[in-house]
Amino acid sequence: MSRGLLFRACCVVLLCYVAVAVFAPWLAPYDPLAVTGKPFTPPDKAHPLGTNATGQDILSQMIYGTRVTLLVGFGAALISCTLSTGIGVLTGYYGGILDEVSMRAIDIFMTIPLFPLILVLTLFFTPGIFTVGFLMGILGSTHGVRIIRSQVMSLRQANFIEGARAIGAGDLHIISRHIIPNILPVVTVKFVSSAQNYLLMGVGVSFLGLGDPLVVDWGQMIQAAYSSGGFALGLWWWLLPPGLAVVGISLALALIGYSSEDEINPRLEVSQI
Amino acid sequence: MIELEGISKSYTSGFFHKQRKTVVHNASLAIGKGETLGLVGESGCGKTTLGRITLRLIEPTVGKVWFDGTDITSLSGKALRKIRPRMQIVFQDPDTALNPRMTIGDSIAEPIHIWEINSHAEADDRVLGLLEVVGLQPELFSRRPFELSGGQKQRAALARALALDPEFLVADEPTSALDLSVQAQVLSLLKEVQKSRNMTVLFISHDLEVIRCMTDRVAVMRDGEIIEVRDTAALFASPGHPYTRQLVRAAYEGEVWYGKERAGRGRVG
Amino acid sequence: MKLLDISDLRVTFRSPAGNVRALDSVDISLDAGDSCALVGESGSGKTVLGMAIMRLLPSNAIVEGMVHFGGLDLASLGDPEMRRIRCGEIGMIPQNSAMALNPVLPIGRQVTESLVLHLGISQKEAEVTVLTLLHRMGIPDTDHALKQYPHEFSGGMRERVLVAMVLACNPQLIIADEPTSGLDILVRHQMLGLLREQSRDKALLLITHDLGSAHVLCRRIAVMYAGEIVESGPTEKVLSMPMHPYTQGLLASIPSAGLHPIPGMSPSPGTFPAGCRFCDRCHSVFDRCRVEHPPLKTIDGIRLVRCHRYG
Repeated sequence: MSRGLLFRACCVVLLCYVAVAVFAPWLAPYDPLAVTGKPFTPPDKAHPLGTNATGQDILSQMIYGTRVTLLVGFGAALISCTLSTGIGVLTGYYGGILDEVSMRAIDIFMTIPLFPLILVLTLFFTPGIFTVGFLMGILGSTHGVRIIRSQVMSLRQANFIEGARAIGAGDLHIISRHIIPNILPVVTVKFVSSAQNYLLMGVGVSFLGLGDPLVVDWGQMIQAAYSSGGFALGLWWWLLPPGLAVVGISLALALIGYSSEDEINPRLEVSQI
Repeated sequence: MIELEGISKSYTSGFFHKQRKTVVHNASLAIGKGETLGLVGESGCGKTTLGRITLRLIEPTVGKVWFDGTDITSLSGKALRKIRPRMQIVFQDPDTALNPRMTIGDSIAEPIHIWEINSHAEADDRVLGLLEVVGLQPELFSRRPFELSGGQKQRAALARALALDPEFLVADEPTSALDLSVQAQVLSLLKEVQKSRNMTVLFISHDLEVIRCMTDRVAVMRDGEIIEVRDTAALFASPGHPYTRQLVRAAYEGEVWYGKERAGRGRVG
Repeated sequence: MKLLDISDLRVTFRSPAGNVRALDSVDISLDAGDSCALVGESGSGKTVLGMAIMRLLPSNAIVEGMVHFGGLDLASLGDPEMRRIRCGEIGMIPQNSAMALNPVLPIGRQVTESLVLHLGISQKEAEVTVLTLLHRMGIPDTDHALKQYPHEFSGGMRERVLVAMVLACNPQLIIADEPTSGLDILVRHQMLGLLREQSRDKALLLITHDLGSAHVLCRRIAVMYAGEIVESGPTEKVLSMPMHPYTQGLLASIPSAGLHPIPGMSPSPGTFPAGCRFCDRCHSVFDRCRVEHPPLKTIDGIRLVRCHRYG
């Protein structure tokens, strides 16, 4: 399968997920938190994916869960990428003492594994999935800073940047017109991979029960299924859908990153023998 | 017009900045208005650094640079930026001289947009005019750098440098990366432009043959120091410093150049 | 029997945009101890020619014609035999010294590698041979040098190490691909001296755009343009009395000759004009040139020119 085709197919898949999240109220047959049927019913006409331990419709929960999961994942990625781009550009471009101090601070942060750190922090803050997302974004940005910083540093040596300074362009002009457009490919790829990362992390956090119990998302669903004895009772209609949904979007994001390498980068060289 | 006084540049490395490497040591030069001064030396001699210091693209550790009577080393950032349109640079590597994500037209128009409040149409006209001056077809206006050859990219870089009508141009090995016939095209273009605009030029190169035909006077650099400055013809006829003599002799014996000079010399070995 | 005999060599590259002919009907022959320079600019096909001889072209290249070395048809050889030829019989000094050496291996290992592989001798024995070789190359402090890494050497020294690697197995033919490009004047001078000395009893094929080095090193010269040879003959004669308009233009564009540029640009492979490939840029073009592709003609028994001006 050619890369272009793969890229487009995965984008379509991603758009489906986003569409489900956006149009949730119209797509879900019931309110996800309302008890609409007998508990533990397998899929039937009234409940295409059956009901859970309290009698809530699983399909509606899945649909509404898309919102939270995607919001946390992409929201965290957006915060993280904006922050890491900002810090990376400033430290890479200006260098000096700002750079040295920031890098030492980031080095220290990077030694702390992100997931356990998030777990510890949520115990101290009010547990809430959106808080978790916010924290992930802030703390996770340290990983991206180095990548972007090194791109900026190598760009800064490029002759066209010096040329821009030579024609009298100010720093802001150089950063916005020359540096940022040229690091966009890296930032975009980082965004996609961060989104995948944070999405999985968010699911993991709510699977461990640290999210908001009132907010329905896929991690929470898997956790509820597990703690209600879903594995022992063979409640496949409760366990599989959220799990497959997570795998699906994770795979789609990963493949988008993989297949977009060619599309995002302009051809920088035409090689001739 | 341009005067360098006691320029030294050293880099420090190590966490406590203990190691010091001096790239340029006590260099002084003067370039008259409308003159082309050559700066020649081997790689690592500091000529590129000195060229950039002349435009204050690199800060000298010690020393002053005078541009048309103004001490540019003491200028603030803003005042320095104001002077920049009058002095420009053309780089060695055509592949990195232009922003790969901008079209040629946009790259050349950029200096115009920064400094002058021309409308887009007026700016485009000026760019087309510049393309003609450097001998590029107007269709290249909307192409990206990767679609152009090395020689074309170098001409576009030159067009960009000329956009604000500078009085002083630093040419840093502008043709080292180009083929022989393309080099001839770019160099003769440079000569023509210099003559028609009476520009002052600092021509940096490691190629003695090119220096010989492009410059009025030559400064020879070695290990960060300027060891000899003379009129070009005089330098090649009877080089003073032993290092210069070594360079000139190596160039002759390696048959770097041809033409009528070769007659009577015969082949070595 | 000629050591190297190339006849009617044609190289075409397969690409998504169609087939592109990079090299057309090239004939070259070299005796042992002979030296020939292939002079041309980018797009002329000279690098392709060097790589075609060594069978180092990428997989999308179609090679037609004959390349005979020491009587052997190189195209008919299997991979192991070709590898043996590549080291022991034909040595290629590649273009970019910085990239041609493995940055994580010490110099000693890299130079002895070919000896160990091809002559089957032990590492220790190879080192002894290499020590003398490096000394001949003018590399100082050879014992210590063996353990150093490429980045600890200057550009000029790396070039010498490359030459040492190529000469280690004592090949009969040396192909030098742009050995002087990018070098400083003094380093270039030393490199030319080194090559001249080391190629005295071997055959040398010099691929370059540096006319000076062609003149110093080679008895014969072949000028290439747009994938074919347009002029060839004894170096001294061709450079002092060029016959083909391209050669004349090239010599006139040298700085000391007045920097007279040849108008226009070399056509890239795939866009060659019909008729003579130089017709768009030629100062003495006839109508015939645009329509009829000129063949290579022999003049005075020793010079070949591809131009309608000569008959």
